[in-house]
Amino acid sequence: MRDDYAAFTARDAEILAIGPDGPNAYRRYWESEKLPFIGLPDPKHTVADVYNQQVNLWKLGRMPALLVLDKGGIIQYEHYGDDMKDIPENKVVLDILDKLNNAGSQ
Amino acid sequence: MKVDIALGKQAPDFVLNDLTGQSVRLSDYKGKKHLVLAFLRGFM
Repeated sequence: MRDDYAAFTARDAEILAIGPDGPNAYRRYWESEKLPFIGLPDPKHTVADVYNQQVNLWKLGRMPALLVLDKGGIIQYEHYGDDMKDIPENKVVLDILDKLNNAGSQ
Repeated sequence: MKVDIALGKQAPDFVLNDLTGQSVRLSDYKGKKHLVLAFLRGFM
């Protein structure tokens, strides 16, 4: 996602990366990886829990999940990973953003 | 809290601090940006 960040911002999208680690671990990772998007430590899992309680997918631990919201905050896409590497390709997400931009050009 | 996380539903608002300590609220982006919410597994 880092390498394609410009492609996301060009589509009028921001990336919020929410993770279970504490701020210090987070910052170290962000600096070592030079990640350009917004990192949000959620060590108490408050947001992760709200976003996943109902789907109840955390039985086996925390799996990656990805949601796309339109500018109105409506969920347009969601993907809950089955394992650590199960993350949708950037192209999938970029296509969704293209569709949102084409649909919402009023 | 029961929240319906489903396609076509409003995403529940939240606020978290970013790595510089600034608070980031989901609804701050409303009307401005599409958002990609990536829930990470963790770095360790």
